[in-house]
Amino acid sequence: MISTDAFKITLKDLRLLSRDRRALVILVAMPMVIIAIVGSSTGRLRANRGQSRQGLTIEVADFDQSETARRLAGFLASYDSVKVRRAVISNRSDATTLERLQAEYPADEIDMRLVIRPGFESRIRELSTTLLTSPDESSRKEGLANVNLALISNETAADPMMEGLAKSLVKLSLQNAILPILAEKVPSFRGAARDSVIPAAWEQTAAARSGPTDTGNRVYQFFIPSYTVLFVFFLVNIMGRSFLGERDMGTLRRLRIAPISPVAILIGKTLPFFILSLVQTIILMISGRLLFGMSWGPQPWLLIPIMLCTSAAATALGLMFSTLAKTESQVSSSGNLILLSSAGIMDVWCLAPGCRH
Amino acid sequence: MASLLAVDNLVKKYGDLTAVDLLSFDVEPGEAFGLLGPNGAGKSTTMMIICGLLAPDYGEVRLEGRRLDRTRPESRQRMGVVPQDLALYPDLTARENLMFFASLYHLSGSKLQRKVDEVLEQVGLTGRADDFTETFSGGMKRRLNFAAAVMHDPVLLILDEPTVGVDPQSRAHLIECIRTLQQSGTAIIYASHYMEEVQVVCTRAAIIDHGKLLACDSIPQLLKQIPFEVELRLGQSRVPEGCRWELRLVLRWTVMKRSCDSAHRTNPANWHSTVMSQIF
Repeated sequence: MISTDAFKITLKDLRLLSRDRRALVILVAMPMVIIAIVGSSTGRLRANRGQSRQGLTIEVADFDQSETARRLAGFLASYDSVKVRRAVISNRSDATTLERLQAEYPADEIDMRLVIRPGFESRIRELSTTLLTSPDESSRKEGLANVNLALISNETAADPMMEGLAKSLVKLSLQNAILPILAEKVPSFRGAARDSVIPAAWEQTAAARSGPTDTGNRVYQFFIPSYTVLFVFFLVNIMGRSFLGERDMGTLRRLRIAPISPVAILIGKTLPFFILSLVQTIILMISGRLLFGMSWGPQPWLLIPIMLCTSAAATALGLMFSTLAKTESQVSSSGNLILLSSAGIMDVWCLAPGCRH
Repeated sequence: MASLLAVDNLVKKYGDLTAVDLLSFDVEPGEAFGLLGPNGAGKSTTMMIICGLLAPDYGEVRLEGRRLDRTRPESRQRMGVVPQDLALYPDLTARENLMFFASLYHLSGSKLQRKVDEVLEQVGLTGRADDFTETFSGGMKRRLNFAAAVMHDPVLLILDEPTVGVDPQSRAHLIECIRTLQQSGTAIIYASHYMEEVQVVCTRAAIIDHGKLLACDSIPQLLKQIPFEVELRLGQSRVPEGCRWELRLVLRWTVMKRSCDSAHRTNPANWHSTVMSQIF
């Protein structure tokens, strides 16, 4: 009975919301416009709109040309969702090109650039086995630079998770790549070295031979989820207005007089906003893909629990403020506070190219 | 005959203020019962307790012999309430408003559709059924407010000053609707400070002030206590024609209140001077 009564109130509120143009503009149209404006300000609004990139694109500049360097690139290319491209190097001893590739940010379509400096393999051989295999981070504090490697991330990728992932993948690939060298020094590594499947030379892989990869709009990978979460919290204002309106119009009293339980009223009043928030998120995600070429990632279904949780969080917060606020100005001020906080959390203030660096 | 509604020794306090003080009255089935009193007398608090919006500090309310309990919403199924303030959704049409409120009383399907059409016709809003409520005049909103309370054919209809701010035409229409409903067997509790309205609608009335019951009797018995010569003299005075009706109500009310309060009982001549000094 509670669910039936709640459903009636939900339907009524959804009908009212569908007629509230202001709410629809704030929740759906405004985020689209802002994403488009911010996107165009970064010059990526229309870039590769028809395509979307999934995974990570790493450019490898191999100045060592050793077997270990080839193994490193090969293992890197063997990971799913990692595309490896070869940087054009005319001469492995071309110091100018080396300096340039280490100093310049990669092109837009590339997430990271791995520079394998000359002497990479010999450096590996020089290092003690203890240093190479020690689990103690302090002994490897110099990181990749210690073994003549440099990893340069895209200036506007604005995705620290991708950077972290790329570093981890390089380290894992490095561990596999140096196994033959370790096996020469430590007999116990021979089995592991023998068992490690050496991938086909990465230069022959389709990814390496192909031209610039499908890049999608990397910038929107960050913009759209950030602004979606930000605008989901606009719900607090709209929800507060609805609850206060119900009180001011006297209809809340009429609902309380009706033979329905208070729980049904609470559920019935809350559910429409959860649904609205979910619809808003879905619209923004679909629009992000269709209009801005945003990628949903290799497992798009994982977006569903994220969207459900985000909507539930916004609705719960909205419910809390709706019940606490006594006037519309209280709703507005508390709603704005939440918006600013969520904007900070979602890092939407830090979008300028290079800001993250 | 068993009472439809029994209000028994209700007490409601807000801090030190006693809003309702041991108030008791009964309403018979099909009866139109008036609840008279000035602002702050405790009428609305009493109504809210009967409706289940407030819990009394003491006493109880029984409808058809069953105790009305705030925790059992189903006990309010056979009760209709016309609140003093408009309680409608401006962004819904008149039909949508009625359908929504009726659905809360478990009306559905063709029965609901039929009832909506019937009630809209009863309150004279058939032609505006599909217009948004925000486009309605005050009087039309009042009629729709009334309609929303009678959709489920309640056995008891509670009206809390339903004609406040209504033009004379809509007021007459509303009163006519209430009378029709009462004649069809619905019991009515009509709270107002307009004696004239109570006189037209109700057969019996209770007068309360400061939460206490001052008098409870049939309308003719209550009216017997009003000195009509005072009213006639006022009619001959220089009061503008448009104000006379309202003044007459104020006068009647003030005099009646005093006549029911034994502590202030005096002779009619003194009432007149007291009342005139209060009015002017």
